[in-house]
Amino acid sequence: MKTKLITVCMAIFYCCTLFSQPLTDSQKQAIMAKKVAFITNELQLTPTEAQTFWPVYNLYQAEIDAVRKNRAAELLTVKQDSISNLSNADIQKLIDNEFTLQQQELEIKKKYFDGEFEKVLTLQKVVKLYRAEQLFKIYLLKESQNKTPGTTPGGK
Amino acid sequence: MMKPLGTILLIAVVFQLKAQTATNVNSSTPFEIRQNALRAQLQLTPHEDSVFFPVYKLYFESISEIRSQNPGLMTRAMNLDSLSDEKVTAMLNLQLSLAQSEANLKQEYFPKFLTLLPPKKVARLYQLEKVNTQNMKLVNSPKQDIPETK
Repeated sequence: MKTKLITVCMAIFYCCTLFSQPLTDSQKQAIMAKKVAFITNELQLTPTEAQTFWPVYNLYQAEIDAVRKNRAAELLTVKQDSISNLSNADIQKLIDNEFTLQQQELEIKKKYFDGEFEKVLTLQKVVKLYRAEQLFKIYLLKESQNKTPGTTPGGK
Repeated sequence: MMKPLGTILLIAVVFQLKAQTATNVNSSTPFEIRQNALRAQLQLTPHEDSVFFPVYKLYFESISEIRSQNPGLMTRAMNLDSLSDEKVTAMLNLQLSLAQSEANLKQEYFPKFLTLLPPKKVARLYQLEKVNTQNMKLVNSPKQDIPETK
């Protein structure tokens, strides 16, 4: 039981490190296209809502991307081998930086989910958007596992 | 007459012990499961193990407590359209506040971990925590809510 759990965790970690490699522009575009389709379906936007929502969402996404661009080369994407090549001071700096960037991302989320999105969506749809973002992350995680043989969620 | 009875008693005790051991393995607490996974990954020395896990347990319990307050927004079983503006606002605010509490907790504990473990192991721990969080989201999401992949 424990061995199986550890194996699943390790398999998922392997997938995540693979998945967290820097993406090419075309991969990013493909993910964004899927995300737009996913959110559109989840929110069931009216044409009027779509017209006012997407420009605000694009601003939100741009702000998040700017923070993540700084995070892209950071802790999670540093492979285990690379960690051992870094000095203790560098690692400490990476950890501090990670928390700073994480907080910045959280502040952007608060700004939009507790303000900007309410100007263009009903409150119920703002919450649906929050849920859609979470579900989309799970979708990507599941997709990355399915692409890696032997690392399906069943963990066999 | 006494010999067979003693043998039967001995067998019964052995079976009882075996059953208890099996039960203990299957009834590991979430912390113990996590602890074993981390032990396998972090390769701690006995000293590191003894100083790290008591502090990690406090962190683990606090983060579990925060996550247990999740208002359950993430399941489609909750019909958001039927809820009042006040209710959905309260749920969203709680969700954002829990995300902040979790970030605060990590910022509080990782400097502590750095006093107990070498930075390289703390960096690895950070990676493993992140992956574990993603894993938990995947495992805890109701199956019907996880979108199908192609």
